[in-house]
Amino acid sequence: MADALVVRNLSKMYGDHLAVDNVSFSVKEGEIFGLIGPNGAGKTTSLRMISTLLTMTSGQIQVCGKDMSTDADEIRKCISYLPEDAGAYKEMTGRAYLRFMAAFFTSGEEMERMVTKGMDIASLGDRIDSKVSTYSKGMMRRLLIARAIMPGPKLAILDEITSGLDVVNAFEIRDIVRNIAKNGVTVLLSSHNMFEVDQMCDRIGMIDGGKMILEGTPSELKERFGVGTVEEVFVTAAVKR
Amino acid sequence: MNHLWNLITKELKELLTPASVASVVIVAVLFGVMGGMINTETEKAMEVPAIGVISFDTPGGGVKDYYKDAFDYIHEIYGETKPSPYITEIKGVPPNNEPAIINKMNDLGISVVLVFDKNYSNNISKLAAGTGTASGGICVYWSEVKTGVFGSISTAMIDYLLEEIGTKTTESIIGGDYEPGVLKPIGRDNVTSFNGKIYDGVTPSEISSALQSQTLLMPILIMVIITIIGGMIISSMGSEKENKTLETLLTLPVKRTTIVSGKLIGSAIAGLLFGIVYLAGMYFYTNSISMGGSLSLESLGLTLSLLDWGVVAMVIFLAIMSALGICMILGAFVKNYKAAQTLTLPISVLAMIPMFVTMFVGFDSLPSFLQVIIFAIPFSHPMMIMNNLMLGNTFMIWGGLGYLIFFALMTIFVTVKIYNSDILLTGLVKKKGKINILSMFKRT
Repeated sequence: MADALVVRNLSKMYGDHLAVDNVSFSVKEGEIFGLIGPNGAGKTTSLRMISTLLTMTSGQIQVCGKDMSTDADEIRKCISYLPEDAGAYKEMTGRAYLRFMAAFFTSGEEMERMVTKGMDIASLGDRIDSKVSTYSKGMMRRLLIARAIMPGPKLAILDEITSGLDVVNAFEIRDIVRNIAKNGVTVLLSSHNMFEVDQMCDRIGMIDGGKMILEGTPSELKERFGVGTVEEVFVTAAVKR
Repeated sequence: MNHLWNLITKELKELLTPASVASVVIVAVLFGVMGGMINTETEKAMEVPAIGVISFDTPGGGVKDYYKDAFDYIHEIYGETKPSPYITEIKGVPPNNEPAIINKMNDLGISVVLVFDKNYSNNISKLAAGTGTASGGICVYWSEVKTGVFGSISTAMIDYLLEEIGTKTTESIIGGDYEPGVLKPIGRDNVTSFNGKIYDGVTPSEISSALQSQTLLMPILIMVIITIIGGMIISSMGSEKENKTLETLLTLPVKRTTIVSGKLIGSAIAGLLFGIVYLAGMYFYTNSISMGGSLSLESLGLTLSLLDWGVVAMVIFLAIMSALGICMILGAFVKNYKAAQTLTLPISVLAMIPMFVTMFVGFDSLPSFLQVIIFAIPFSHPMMIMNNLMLGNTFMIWGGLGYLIFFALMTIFVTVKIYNSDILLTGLVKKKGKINILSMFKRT
């Protein structure tokens, strides 16, 4: 299977601070790749560079064969980024928000089909016509996941998708992500929830202090560290550093 | 630690941020400067103006020379002895020649001249003897019109001077106590040179009032529009950042210039709609309080053509685009909705300064360095454009329009650059202890 995302020697400086230090990894098409690491490790900065929001200080990013330094506009056509704790326009209804976003990708009947797909993914029932300001955190997250997935991106970049959600909502959202991966969408996600990462990800990369310190499948990593859970892998690796 | 003190210090730390303190200090300094300007202008206006005196008076045989008395009274009222640098007797001007008198005033740098009529003494003598009813004529020639509110003060000083000449003349005729108004020895007329034309029977304050009644609306309206749209766009940026909707928007397949244009045009339309509503309200307000009998600009030949209105519309549009550009640049550094509220203050102050200057002082009355500052504030131009067009101030019209085009394009250019850089998400970061402003031009 071809690589949907290739990151080579990626670095990012914020003034004097080196936030991401020579990170390299790749993600194959249809794969779910999890970025884990302690707070301030450089996960969100890496995701923001991959999603074209931040410039690279050095290195190379290729998304679906397109190079970030020359084809950022083209890359935006095949990615979908969902930031941590993101919101939607509060004065819009859920349906209006999906329609507003779909209009950036297509028009006419195709757009209506995209909106219907989004509404199916969000599964908000009648509340899709309520104002976004009235949504609970779980409903908001479902709407945003639907927004991110409905255009059919080749690479979905999801930052802490289940953060702050109750068990049922978190379960449903994980299910949605698994399903889109089954349909060929590549997923790059970051999470502090090691159970979630263990359950969902085909492969994991651990960043600490801006460096990629581990990479492999959950079972490979657990075997390497001689432990039973990804959480134990994380703690052992962090303590070793 | 005392619980109350603990809470107070927390509140103060949250409220007294460097941005909020800086905004308040800037406002205080600007208001201080403005107060100084108004004070200087008031003092200048309150000063008794240096005047010229021209006499065409030819007293007949045996008639008392009332002009000579009046000339003495003027020195007395001024508290000056002859010869006084404040009172110049002008000779050699042909009678009944208004342009010649105005030219002479301009040559001598005198803004007010009292011209005594050829029958001045004869008329007062007949009035005193009860054989005539005509007063001694004094025509006041004015060569300067101040457009600010304080412009009318210098006119009031001359009103006082003429009233005193009349009182003293009456005293010299009747002597002792007398009923006020029993004798009106002075008959007054006015001639004002303004904008290259000579207006008979009109005082500078009447022209100034006419200009203000027609153009006062514009500075207030512009200030309101700028403040409203400024607040809207900065708050919108703060809200977008807080909700991270901006991050989502920036990863969509849409050009950054389109995102910037969408925000600018959307806010401009909203601002104009608000402006029209305010304009309608203020139009009815000023119409309902305007007093009858005032001089109309039409009667002075000061009207705007269709082309002029086109220029007015263009200047307003460019000023709004400049305001939006500034707000989007400021908004780029806003972290959340709360911080956005503080940043709206500088834009309001920038709009208020030219508004007060236009209303109270007038651009022409300012010292050169303040004129440069007012010219540099883009919101000054729509506030002054109507007066400039009516008075044909070519440099201010076309120079202002050119400056506004440059300013609006520059702010939009910088905004697009910021939208293409990391600054929108990271703010200005320090490198080797210094903030690098040029990092905003680093392209994504």
